[in-house]
Amino acid sequence: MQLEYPHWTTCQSDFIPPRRCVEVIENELHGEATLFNPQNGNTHHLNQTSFAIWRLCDGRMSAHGIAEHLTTIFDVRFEIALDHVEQLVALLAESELLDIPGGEIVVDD
Amino acid sequence: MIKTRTKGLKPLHFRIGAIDLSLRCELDQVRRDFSEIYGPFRAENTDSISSIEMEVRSDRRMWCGTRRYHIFGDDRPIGRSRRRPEVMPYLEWGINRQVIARRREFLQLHAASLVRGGAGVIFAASSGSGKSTLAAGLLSRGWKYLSDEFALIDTETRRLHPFPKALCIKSGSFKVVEGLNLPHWRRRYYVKAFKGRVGYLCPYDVSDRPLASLSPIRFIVFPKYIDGGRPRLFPLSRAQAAFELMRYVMNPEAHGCRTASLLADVARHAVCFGLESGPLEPTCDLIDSILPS
Repeated sequence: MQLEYPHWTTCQSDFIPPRRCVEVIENELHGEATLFNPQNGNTHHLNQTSFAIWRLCDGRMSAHGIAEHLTTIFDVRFEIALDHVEQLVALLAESELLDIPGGEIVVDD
Repeated sequence: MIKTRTKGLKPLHFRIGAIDLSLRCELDQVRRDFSEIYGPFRAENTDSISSIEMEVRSDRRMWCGTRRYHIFGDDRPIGRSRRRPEVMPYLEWGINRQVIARRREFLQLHAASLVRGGAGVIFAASSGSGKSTLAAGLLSRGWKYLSDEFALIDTETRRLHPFPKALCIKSGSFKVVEGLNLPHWRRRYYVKAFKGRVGYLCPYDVSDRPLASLSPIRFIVFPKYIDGGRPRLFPLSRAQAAFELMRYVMNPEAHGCRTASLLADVARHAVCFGLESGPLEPTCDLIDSILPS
């Protein structure tokens, strides 16, 4: 089966700044974290990279901006960082951990 | 109609670590077995407020003459069986159920908890993962015992409280425990629904001083039994451990949104491992070699 990226990430990530949902409870543990969403009772585990991206989802920086920032923290090319950011943001948004102001997730059929 | 003649029976009192318990039981055999297995925990009386009151009653269905056995926890019916060998496991299950319901001040994990060199170790796993067998093996090597089924975590101090229940050994582990020369279950078997035959091992049958007191949590291990496998310990990040622990919380509703933060705090001060356990002796050797005495 061919997996495709969620449609919105490739066309809207330039300008939509994802923002962490305020009600999500974050517990940092040595550079990683668990996130607890009281809305649905789900818990999530973020590794070091994911946690860095999560922390940068401040509602001001777009996925492009986050990816650019990651290139200054990690030894990673922009295209690869952007790929990771877009995928993670889509996953976090699907898990109702991120608000996408003015946007919604649209996945192509 | 359920007879209520147990009200006339004098209750037996037990103080099993942090848990006070009184038992009224009209079945002589069950009362004797329970008193024997929990003999070292007999008490003159128990705290009337926090004490869990268990009761076993029986009735006879007149038209067919068969008996049914009813388990009550704090005066409420919580289980029944038609088979006498199931009563003891049902009683044990009922006690667990009441502890979960009544002792909400603890963060309760489905885990064996033991202590070595003053360091508390949590072995968190689902049923059938070999927690009790592993606990028996480590107990026979001088580890101190807290519980084979519960990690009772004080939410203020993050310390482990003891609830030294009898270890419930399932039939698949009988030979293994026999191999440790432990006088387990005294050759008396019971039947646990869906799990088959079980036997009980009093921690005092393993050692003269088997019990640990309040202990800080220093290690978290997630054992998984691999039949015929070679035992392997591998490190887990603290965040991964906190995430994994979430699935073993038995009373999440008691702590609500605090639960995840409490677990993170527990993991923050611990070293965490995954464990693929195999034969008991090499598995215990491996754990002994990694965790300091």
